[in-house]
Amino acid sequence: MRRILRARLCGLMVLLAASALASPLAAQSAGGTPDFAQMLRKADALVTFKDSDFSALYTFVQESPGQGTSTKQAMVFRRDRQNTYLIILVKPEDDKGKGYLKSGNNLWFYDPVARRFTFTSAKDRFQNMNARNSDFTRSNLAGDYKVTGSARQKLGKFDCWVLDLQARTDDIGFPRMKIWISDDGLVRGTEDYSFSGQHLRTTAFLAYQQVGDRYVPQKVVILDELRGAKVNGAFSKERTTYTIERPSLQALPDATFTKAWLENLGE
Amino acid sequence: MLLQVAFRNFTRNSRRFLLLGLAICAGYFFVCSIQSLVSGLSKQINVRGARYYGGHVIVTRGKDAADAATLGEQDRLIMDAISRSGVRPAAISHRTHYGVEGLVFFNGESVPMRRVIGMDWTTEGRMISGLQIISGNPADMNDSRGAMISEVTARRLGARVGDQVTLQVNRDGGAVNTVPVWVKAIFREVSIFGYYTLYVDRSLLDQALGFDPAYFVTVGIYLEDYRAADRAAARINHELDGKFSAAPVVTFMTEIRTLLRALAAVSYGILALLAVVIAVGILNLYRVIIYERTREIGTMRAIGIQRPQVRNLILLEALLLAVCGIVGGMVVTVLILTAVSQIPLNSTAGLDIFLDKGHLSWVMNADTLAADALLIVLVTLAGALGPARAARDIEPAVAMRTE
Repeated sequence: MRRILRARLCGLMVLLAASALASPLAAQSAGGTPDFAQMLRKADALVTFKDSDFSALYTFVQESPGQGTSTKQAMVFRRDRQNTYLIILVKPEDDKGKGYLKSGNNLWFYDPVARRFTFTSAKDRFQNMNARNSDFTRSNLAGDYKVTGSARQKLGKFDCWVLDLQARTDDIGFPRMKIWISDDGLVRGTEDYSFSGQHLRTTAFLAYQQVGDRYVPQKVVILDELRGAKVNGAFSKERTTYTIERPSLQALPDATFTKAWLENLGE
Repeated sequence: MLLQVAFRNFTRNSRRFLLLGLAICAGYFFVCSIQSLVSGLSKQINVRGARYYGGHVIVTRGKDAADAATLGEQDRLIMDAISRSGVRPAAISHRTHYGVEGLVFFNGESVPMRRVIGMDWTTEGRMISGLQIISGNPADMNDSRGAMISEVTARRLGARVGDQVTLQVNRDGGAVNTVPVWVKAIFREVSIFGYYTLYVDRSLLDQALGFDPAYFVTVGIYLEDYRAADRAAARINHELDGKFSAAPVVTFMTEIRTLLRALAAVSYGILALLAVVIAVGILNLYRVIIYERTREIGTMRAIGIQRPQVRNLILLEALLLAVCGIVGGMVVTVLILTAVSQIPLNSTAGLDIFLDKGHLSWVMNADTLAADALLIVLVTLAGALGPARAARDIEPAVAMRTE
């Protein structure tokens, strides 16, 4: 199973890499150039829970070439209509009780040992992995980016639009992105770039699960394009894989998204 | 003539004076050593701090973004204030500093930087030349895409001179930006002032951060004598008239400044204690000496030496004792500190910040040592004054009858 997933991932990475060299594929739909802004809004809407709360168990596997693998589990609680989330780590024991609380533009990290909240940044790495704290925020591609280029490409079995995105403001973590959106409106892959165009990160959304009338990624792989090591003569990149299980739309108490709740959970 | 007699008496009674002379010598050595080491520590802190922050006096413009015209106007204001203050800078720097969010990548490795320093190599290169360069040529930093990295950083990255590394910063708004730079030199600096520090061209850093290429955060003034920093900062502040703030560089190192002040206070405390010991010792010694030399003093009075001359003779002998002790103490200080400074101390944890290229640094400040010597002389004379007066009052007839 693992080999199959690796093969799929390698295939995806090859396709994403090839897209940089390949000329655009078949022409647009017969109706002309689609409304890419609307495409982004749809992509946002499909994964945003405006009318309900969302909670799920996230399992993160961090692979650092030459250093081994580490696994962490966290419960994630989201209230997209208020742009807030709470994350609490449940495994391993050393990290149990640590958490993150986002409210608006403020993000705090809680350490249960020191019993202290520290202001942190959405742009920081999550638990020193390739995921970022901003990855858990509700999707706002349409609001954060404008489309500067497009092409049609096939990504695995999906026919996709590849959009070149440029951040509208200077406070967006990744000022440039490349995004693959399949015809069903779901994001299948992204490449994140720095302001100067350095490729920083590649993300592949390998599978989705439907939750109500929305979608949640089932398995996501993030490759760090700058970090890695030579293993057996070949350069391997740092990778974070996370899976999302037990998604729920059950309403959460308002107290869930407070520091006090995180402190109590931490204890 | 009195001096000749005093010198003769001093040399003839050298055994009597030996112990106290050694005590003065040891005490002065102790005080000299501590003060020289503290001065050396202070010098290293100031040298390192000046390199790190861009001068002995720092004028902070602030981090808010500005266009070229505003920056030019602010720069002119600061330069005029420096000029009017009468402070003569050895060099002036314009710096942009980027803090702990800087990252350097090479070959899959990443190292977080404590500070990325954007500097103008043409104006400031000479002041940075004190860095211990272990590889490469810092003169190549004239290339605006050059970078100087620390030995520790180079080791962690596996980078060498000539390699291209990637510097990652966050722009003013928070967007991630990266810029390739080429390693021109690797320096050894194991203190907090260099451990994870990266030097790059200021315009390059400014543009990477999203600022105008002329942007700067601080103007630094290097001085010929770092000890004048407090006065210089006060004069510049007076001319700046509240528009910007000038501060001596040690202001940015408050814990270290406190430590240095504590060490200086300890040395003054020891000096005070030494003074008391010397005074009491001289007093007791001279009481015994005067008692033992009663007949001699009576003889001198009988042959015509006047009372004030007797008193002055005793005081001159005490002065000679103090001078010999001071000279001896200084010689021993120089010898021992020179020997100790030959010992490499690179591997001694916590001392890095005070070392000069891995060796203990010590500085003898003439004014401080002269003041210490003067104090010891005065204390010695004060201690001998009482017995000298007693000797002055000895009647010759009574003295001659004494056994």
